[in-house]
Amino acid sequence: METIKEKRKKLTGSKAMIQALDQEMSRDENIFVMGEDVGKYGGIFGSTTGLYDKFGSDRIMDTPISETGFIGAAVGAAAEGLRPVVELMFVDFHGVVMDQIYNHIAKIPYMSGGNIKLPIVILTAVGGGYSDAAQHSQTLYASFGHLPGLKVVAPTFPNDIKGMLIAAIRDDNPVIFMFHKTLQGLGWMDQIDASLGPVLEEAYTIPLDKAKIVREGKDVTIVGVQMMTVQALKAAEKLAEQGIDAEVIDLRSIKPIDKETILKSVEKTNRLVVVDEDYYSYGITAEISAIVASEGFKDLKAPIVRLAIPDIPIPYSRVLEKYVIPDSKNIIDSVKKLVKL
Amino acid sequence: MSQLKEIILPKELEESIVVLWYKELGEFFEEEETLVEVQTEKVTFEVPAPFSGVLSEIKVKRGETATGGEIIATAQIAKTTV
Repeated sequence: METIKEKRKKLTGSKAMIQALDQEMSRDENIFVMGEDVGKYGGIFGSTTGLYDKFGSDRIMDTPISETGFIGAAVGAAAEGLRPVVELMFVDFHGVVMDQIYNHIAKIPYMSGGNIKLPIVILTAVGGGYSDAAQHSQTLYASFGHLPGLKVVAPTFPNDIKGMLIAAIRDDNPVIFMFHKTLQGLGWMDQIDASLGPVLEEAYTIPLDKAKIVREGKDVTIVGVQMMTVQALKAAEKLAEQGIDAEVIDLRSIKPIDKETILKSVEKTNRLVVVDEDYYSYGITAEISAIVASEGFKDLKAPIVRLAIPDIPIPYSRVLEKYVIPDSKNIIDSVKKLVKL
Repeated sequence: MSQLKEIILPKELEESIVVLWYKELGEFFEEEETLVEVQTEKVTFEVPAPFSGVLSEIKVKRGETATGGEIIATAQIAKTTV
């Protein structure tokens, strides 16, 4: 039997995205990219660097600053059989294009009885932590997770970024693909270890509906997504030194949400901390708490802990921004209290 | 016998931060292949390998800065195959 040697290379989040787009665009000529500064500039968070030179201006298209215009154009292109990948530069800008996203992209496949498929991927940069103030620092995971008709994913590590982006492109449904700015591994941002990781060279897919246990443990379950997964892992390492064995789940998919992985973990650990870089009210922490309270109540030995950004706009001040975004210390403090209960 | 040689950040670059080493220690690279990506305040630049060889030491790691003309790595020169 022939054995295939898996070749892996260390890539940053941004390079993993570029490799996914490159391989998919080479495979299928119906795939093209539109967005602000995605052309020669390569995307302000490095999602398309180098692709303009390879695929040209017909397939890597710079657009005017009109999200309604070009994301609307993606609807028409997709309905006619193309597979557009469009970049909404910051998720914070979703307000100007929500009619296209919620009323058209999310609804047309349903309202046409499945006759019109819209294989659109919306790439969008999320997250704070670098003093970009209230209008450029949000994640808004829950805003997109709330309405039906969209798959919403937010991978953390380069290997997942590549596999889930390829899966998103190949999916016949619209997918919101959120990438975290800090996890792109860009030179002008804080360079953290999590933004670099081994990535399989060939094209592969990772399911869009599965969370991943990134650290096994038995004392408490910590669920995070993107930078909160990174903070949770950091916390888990410190907690281990103090004899507390935390299990960390990287949610990866906001919608559909992988209830099974979370419930199974809580069944084992009996304690749950959910940590989110989105706002506290009506968010991921509320959703997961509700799922576990309704379907895993018998397994809980202590109240669920929710850590999230308080219901205020994210401050520009570095000190205040650090204060509102949950970090490993917040997680450690909560877990230490929780395991005593 | 292989010989050790320095890899220098191109002189024309200003202060640059290392974004990604495309090659790991002990890995072979060909002349002109991209070795490392750096970013200045204005541009991203891919540094091509000045010769074929095997990377033996990375002096300026990811996230660290270097200025044009600085030694960023050393490598063993591969035998030239012409």
